[in-house]
Amino acid sequence: MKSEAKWSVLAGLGLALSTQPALAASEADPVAIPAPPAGKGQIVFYRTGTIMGAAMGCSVNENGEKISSLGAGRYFILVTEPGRHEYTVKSEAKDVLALEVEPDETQYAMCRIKMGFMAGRPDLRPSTEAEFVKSGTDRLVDADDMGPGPGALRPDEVELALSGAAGAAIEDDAPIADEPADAEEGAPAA
Amino acid sequence: MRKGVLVCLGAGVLAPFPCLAEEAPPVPSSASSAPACQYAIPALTPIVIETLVDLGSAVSQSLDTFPLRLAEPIVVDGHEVLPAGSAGEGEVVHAKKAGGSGTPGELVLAARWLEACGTRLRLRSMHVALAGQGAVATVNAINAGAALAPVPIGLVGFAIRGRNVLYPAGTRATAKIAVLFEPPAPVPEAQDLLPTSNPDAAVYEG
Repeated sequence: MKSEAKWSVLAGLGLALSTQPALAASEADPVAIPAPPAGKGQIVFYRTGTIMGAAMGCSVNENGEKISSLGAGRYFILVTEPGRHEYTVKSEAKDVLALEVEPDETQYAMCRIKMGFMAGRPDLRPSTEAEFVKSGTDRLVDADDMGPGPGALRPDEVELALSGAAGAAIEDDAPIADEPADAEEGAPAA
Repeated sequence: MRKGVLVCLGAGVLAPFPCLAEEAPPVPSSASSAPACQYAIPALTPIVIETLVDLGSAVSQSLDTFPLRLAEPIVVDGHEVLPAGSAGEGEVVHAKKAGGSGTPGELVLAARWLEACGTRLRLRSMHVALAGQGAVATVNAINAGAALAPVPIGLVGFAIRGRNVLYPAGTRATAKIAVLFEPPAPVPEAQDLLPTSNPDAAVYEG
């Protein structure tokens, strides 16, 4: 009896430790991802906020050059040229994910830390916008964890891109000069 | 005339359609069946394709090519510009088998081109990037529990495999025409009468 109770406690603890991201995150507003610059594509790399392997970084590389590290519960946006790209993550084992980047489109890739012998092994896999939103990942990687490989948008660049998109939307809907002045009331908020 | 109508009515009891078909006006179809290659196909026109072979994280290799075909005709402004069945090709961008520690299989596909009008229409945006059902969370849960266990039961996690992805032949997907297709310019008839540099090609009298 004692032994049964011990196992159920252990299993419960295990499940609790590996649960999906904080419930509070799912109630927050979804993260706004700006559209890629014209003619370019982008990939949102993210990592769920589980406690397993939380101390490990998931460093995403292309052509041997680090693009950015992903801490638990963080994401970054990589703007890149259309075409086939291979991304690698590595600790005691290497994992490769190739994606087809399409112009003017956003794709998603997720990193998880799985079981390893001496340390956790990062695993990079294709994902979707729905999975990204469901994961509740809402913290952008800090600027000093990005690079030296090009393409990862720094937090200020993301803000700029988002404000630029909002600005463009306002310009599209803004009243033209010949319209009566009362049309200004129809201008949308950012 | 009257006899013809009677015959038609009599036969119509058994087979009404042939009689009706002679006099009824043609039913306009949603898309005219004009020959293909006469109309332009705008870039980013959505299309429906289907793969013709089994693909999967366990059976495909990265950079393999695979045959596909146009599953539904391309219709632009009510004109059928390309019939269903046109052959094409896609590429396995990424394939990885499921592995230990609950790692799922992965499969990323891209549509490359479609044969049409004697040329290849470049395709894009197939949007097939799949991962099988993984068991990483289960393995992590076992490991977390095993950390407090007196025996190394966490090692069983290495034996737990994720699931592979299968993309069977005949599966439909959407894609887009990558660039504007413009039909070849028709050769003007008057061109036949123009003198050419070859003196034997045309003989003018008077």
